[in-house]
Amino acid sequence: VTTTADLDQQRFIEVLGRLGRMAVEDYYNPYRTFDWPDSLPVDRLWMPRELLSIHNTPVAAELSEQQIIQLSIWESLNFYSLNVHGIRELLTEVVARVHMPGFEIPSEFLHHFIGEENEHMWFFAEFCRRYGRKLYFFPQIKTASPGNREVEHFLVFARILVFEEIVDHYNHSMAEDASLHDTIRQINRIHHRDESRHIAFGHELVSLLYSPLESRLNQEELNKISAYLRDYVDYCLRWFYSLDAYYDAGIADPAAFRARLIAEPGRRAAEQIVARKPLAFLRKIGVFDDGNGHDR
Amino acid sequence: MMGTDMTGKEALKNDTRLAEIEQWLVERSGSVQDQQLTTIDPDYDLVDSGLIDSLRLVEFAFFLSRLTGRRPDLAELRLGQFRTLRLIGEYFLGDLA
Repeated sequence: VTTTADLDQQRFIEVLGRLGRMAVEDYYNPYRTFDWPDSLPVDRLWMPRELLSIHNTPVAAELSEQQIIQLSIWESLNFYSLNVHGIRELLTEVVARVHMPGFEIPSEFLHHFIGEENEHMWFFAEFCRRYGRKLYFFPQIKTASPGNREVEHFLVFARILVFEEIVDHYNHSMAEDASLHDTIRQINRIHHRDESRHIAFGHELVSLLYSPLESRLNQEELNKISAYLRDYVDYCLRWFYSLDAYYDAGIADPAAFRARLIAEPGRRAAEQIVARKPLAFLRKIGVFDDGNGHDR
Repeated sequence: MMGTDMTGKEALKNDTRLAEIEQWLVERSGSVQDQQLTTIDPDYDLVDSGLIDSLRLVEFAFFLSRLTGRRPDLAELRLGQFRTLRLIGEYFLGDLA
C-alpha cells in the first residue's frame, strides 16, 4: 500500500471529525435554498468595483458608468463560470482519491467535500444559465508530470486550496456588499460558508502532504514544486482578465484591452490582495521563501 | 511581393508575427529552463521542453489572438497545435488558420 504521507495524526483526525459534524449540521438542499428571480437588474453593479479587473488602473476612469456596469455583469459571469470549471476539475481529482489507499483517514470528509462541491457547481452553473444564457469555457489543466505520486497528490490538493482561497476572497467580498442584489449575495454567502470548511481541511491536508516531501526531496525538486505553484497562482489570477467578458461587455479591441490591464502596475497590488491568503499559507508551510527569494 | 507569387510557406517565413511569437517564448524561457534561450529553432519541441504547458497554453493563445485579431476558441485548444514554431505558424498564421 502506498501511503501519501502520515495522515494518522491526532490533530488531523480531530479537525476532520469537527469539520464532518459541521458539514452534517449545515447541510441544506441547494435546489430549494435559492430565490431565482426571472432577471437581475442591469442598471446596477453585479460585482463590487474593487473586484473588477479595471480596479486600481486609469482604465476605471476612462469607461462610462454604463460600461462599468456591463463589465461587472460579464466579469461576474466569468467568475461563476470559473467556479463551475474549477470545481469540475477538482472533483475529478478528489473522486480519484476518495478511496485510494493512503487516503482512508480523510475519506469520509472527502465524501462531504464531493457532495458539496457538486452542489456548488450546480448553483453557479444555474446562475450563469439563467442570467447570462451561457457558461464561459475554461480548459482543463494537467499537473506538471513530476513522476512522483506523492508530489502529484501534494500538488493536486495545493492547487485546490489555492483556487478555493482565491475564489473565497471574491465570495466573501460579494456576500458582504449590501449594494449587490440579494441573489448575488446569497450564492456568494452560502459558498463562502461551505468553503470555509474546505479551506480549513485543505490547510491541514496540504501541510501533512508537504511535510515528508520537504525532508525527502532535494532542493532542485523543491524549487520545481514552488515554481509550479507560483505559475499556478499566476494562472488563476489571469482568469480574472476575461477576454470573453471584454467581448460581451462591448469593449473595443478586447485583446489589447486585456493586455493593457495586465500590464498596469496597479494591478499587482490588487492581485496581492486577492491571493494574499494562499500565498501566506504556502510561505508558512515553507513552499515559498519567506524572504526575497520569490516575487510573490 | 510585386510580380512574384509567394508560396504559403515563403509568406509564413517572412511573417514578422512569427518573430514576435519567438520573442514571446524566448522571454519566458528563462523561468522554465536552466538557460535563457536567445533563438528558437522552428522545429524545437516547445511542449517537451516545457516552454508551453497547460498552464501557459491559454495565455499563449490570448497572445496569438492579439497578433491575429481572431478570438481564440478555448474549447478547441490542443497542446499538439503548439508543439513547434513551424506548427504554430501553419495553424495560426498560415493557410490552416
